[in-house]
Amino acid sequence: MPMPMAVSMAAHGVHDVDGAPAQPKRARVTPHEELAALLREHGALIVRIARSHECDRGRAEELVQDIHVAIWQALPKFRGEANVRTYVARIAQNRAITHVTREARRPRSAPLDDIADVMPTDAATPEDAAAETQARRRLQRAVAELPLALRLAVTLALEGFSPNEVATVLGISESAASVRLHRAKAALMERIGDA
Amino acid sequence: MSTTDWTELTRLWQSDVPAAAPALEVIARQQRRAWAWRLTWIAEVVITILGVAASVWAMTSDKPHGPIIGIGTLALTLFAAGASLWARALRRAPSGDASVRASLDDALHRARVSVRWGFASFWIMVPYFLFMAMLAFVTGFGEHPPDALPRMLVVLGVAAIWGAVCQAIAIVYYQARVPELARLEELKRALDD
Repeated sequence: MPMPMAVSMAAHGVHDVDGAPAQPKRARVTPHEELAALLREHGALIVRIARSHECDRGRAEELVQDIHVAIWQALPKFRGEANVRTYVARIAQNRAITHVTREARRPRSAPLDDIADVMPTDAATPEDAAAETQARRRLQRAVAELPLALRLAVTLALEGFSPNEVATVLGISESAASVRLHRAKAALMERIGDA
Repeated sequence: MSTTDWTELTRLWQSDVPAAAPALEVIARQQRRAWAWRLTWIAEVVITILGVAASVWAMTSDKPHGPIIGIGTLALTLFAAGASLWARALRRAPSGDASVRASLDDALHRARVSVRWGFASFWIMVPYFLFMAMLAFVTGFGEHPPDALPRMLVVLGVAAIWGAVCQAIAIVYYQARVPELARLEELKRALDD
């Protein structure tokens, strides 16, 4: 965990993700600094989750902002949460569901291809970089096309959450989460294969 | 699907590292919405108090048809207050559980309250129009100074237009909320599946 977040959580007597006691109080952190630290740490996760639910670039940005607001409002609760990343993912998925429900009646205007940026990669050659970008777009498109219940599970799995954490985020049993993940991964692989 | 496949997909997914600025504008907008909801509630309480006060005044005054107007005002005020209470009676504290499932339950609950509120707002306007009709009747057949009748008709006309606008807004609001509730119920079924 980067220093700002560790300092922020230590200031509020929070334990670290792995259960170890946080550092002793060192500095008073304002809510704005706390939000900024959280977003530095988990901002990419939030944007990836938002983009998996919204293919229009402008609306995806709106959704990201909505998630930031929800995180801002939930800051006091963060102070009691052991696993901040899981908590951020919960909020992001919750806001995404609200967004999907509200936006369903608005017409789509942007092609799905637009959701991916051309990101700098570690690829050795420009050709490799282009292939990587293409593969990422195919993956993002396949995720976005999944039914919502499967999409919720698969985005968490792609973010590296364990079945236990997926169960916690979704509020379902671990066995149900495992079944959901199995179905979601199969559906995703099938779509990638078809692409 | 092999573990290698999934590991590669996870790497590919997480290799997208976009950044986004915090949304101070949206925070301000959300705060305005919360204020608007509070103001609506305060306005309903104030209108109820004013309605009861006006009806008591009308019933105790020596104006022509005062008791009829007073009783009509009181009935309309109490009906509107009751409908508002009925719509808000579903409101409950958030569950406190931050899981997606709990959040969806909360969203479903909020959507049901919104649908009720739209429904109640529509039906509040029905006794309102009946009341307007009664006032028009009383005005038309009552004894007034010659120059008072046109002024009273203008007031009644404006009130009727205002009522029609309110009812149209209630219809639009209700029609927007019902599909949202249906979509949330569909999502809940999909999540429970």
